[in-house]
Amino acid sequence: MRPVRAAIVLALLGGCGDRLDVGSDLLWTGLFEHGNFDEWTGDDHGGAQAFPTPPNLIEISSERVHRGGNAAKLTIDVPDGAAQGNSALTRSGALPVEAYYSAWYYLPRTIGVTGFWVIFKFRQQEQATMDELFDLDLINLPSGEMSLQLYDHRRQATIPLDVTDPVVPVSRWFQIEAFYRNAQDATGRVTFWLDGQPILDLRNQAMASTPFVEWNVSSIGENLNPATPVLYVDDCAVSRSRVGPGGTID
Amino acid sequence: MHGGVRCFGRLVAGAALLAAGATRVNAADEAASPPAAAPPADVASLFGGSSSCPRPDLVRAELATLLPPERLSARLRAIPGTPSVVELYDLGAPFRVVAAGRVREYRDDARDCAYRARVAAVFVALTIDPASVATPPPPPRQEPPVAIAEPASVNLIPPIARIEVAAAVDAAFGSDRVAHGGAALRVAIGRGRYAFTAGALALLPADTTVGGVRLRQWRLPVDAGVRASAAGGAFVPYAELGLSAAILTESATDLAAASSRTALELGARAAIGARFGRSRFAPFASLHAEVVPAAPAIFALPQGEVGHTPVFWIGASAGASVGL
Repeated sequence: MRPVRAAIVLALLGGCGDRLDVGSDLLWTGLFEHGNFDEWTGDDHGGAQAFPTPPNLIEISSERVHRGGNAAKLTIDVPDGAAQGNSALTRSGALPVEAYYSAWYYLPRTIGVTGFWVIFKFRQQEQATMDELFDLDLINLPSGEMSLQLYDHRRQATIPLDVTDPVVPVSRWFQIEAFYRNAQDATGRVTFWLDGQPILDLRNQAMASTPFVEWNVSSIGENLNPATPVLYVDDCAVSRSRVGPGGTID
Repeated sequence: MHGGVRCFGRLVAGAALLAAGATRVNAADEAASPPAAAPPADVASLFGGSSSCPRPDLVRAELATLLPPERLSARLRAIPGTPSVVELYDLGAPFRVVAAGRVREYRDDARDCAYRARVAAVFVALTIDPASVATPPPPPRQEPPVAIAEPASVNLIPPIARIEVAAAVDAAFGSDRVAHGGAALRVAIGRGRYAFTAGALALLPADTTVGGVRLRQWRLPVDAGVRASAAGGAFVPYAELGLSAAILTESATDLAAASSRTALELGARAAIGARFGRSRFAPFASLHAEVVPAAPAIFALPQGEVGHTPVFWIGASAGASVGL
């Protein structure tokens, strides 16, 4: 009788409760856990570059990590009056017509932005805009907190967000995610989330002039104070479905 | 001559009682009124069996009202074989009558012994002297029907096992509804009220969605347990209780990198059903429910754990039951 009782108990209380891993919608990830930038540079569709170097830097760091043991540390040196500083991670060329783009950022301190500071960017292949398209910039609020704005290079104008002055946290990891459908007709769409909260949704309009898509996770700035801001980046992903703050990419 | 006409008329009425599903004689009146004539004493040796309800002497007395004594004796003695031409068995609610090798089993929940004797006598008379019934029976009286079971096949021993083959459908109502069609095979082993039962469902794959992840689901449940059946007439209801296991395969259909995974589900199963008819081949239908307490989780990147496969399944099957 004991085996029968055990079977009953197992069936009614325990069971198997297996986890069935049925696959992934992730198209690409950049986790930095190998201590290098091979995830970005290992094929012909990406890059990890700072220029001019020095003083701008891009490096693997374990000082601040979102998950795992490593992250990317992007440092630029842009005192007032100096040229634009660039430290950027790039994926391009093999990106789909539509996808979700996600990256986690850590800002150690508040930075004064008197010029501009681009941390998330979509590019196109268009001479008229010098291949620029959308810049998601860090800005300062009157309260002294940091926030976001979207700059459209085609219009050479800032696009008002759907929410007023979303606050970007300092000394805490935050996630920026975008859905980008690069349609050349009125089905185009770009949507941004900050820590899972939608902040802007541009829909029913053409996007880039060609199917080419380039995505930058960057620290590109000018006239910042302090002049050498550091930005940590971790757990980047391109996905067919939304990652969200609770998503798993490893 | 006059007595022969009277007996013939009662025999015709009795034939109507058996053939048409019958009329019920007032039991009290029947018990109170003695038989019209006694059969010859030597006929008693031709009656056997262990029945006390009906008693053989009551059956003989009823027979004497249906056939003239000389004819009854001659017909009984003309039948070759064992000494007991007529055997009676009291089986509780059912009672069995064996006459000249023919067997009938009737059901009388009221255990009206006088009535049973009459029914048995009519069956015996029709068996040993069918030529006595020459004219169509009169229309039956409109009285409450007697609870007489349809006679079973000559082999009255219930089958040791039944195999059931059926078309089946299994459905779940979780985060997304899903239904599988397929076939069911089940065996029930045991002659008594309780039987061991085991079965399997071969279900076709079906598409479903768990937590926004589209899946093709394939499920092969098996189970084992106990079946309790009600005492059998033409309609045999039953209930089952047991444990179940299912091989569950989930394949993503819409992920960038899709894969298939298989898990074993354990649970409990209950069912109700009914078999119609007592012949070797009988149609049946059943409903079942299954609970899987620890349903497997579905995991996909980047969402993570998006939900669980269904915890509660219900289904139905209908097909043929074959006695072995």
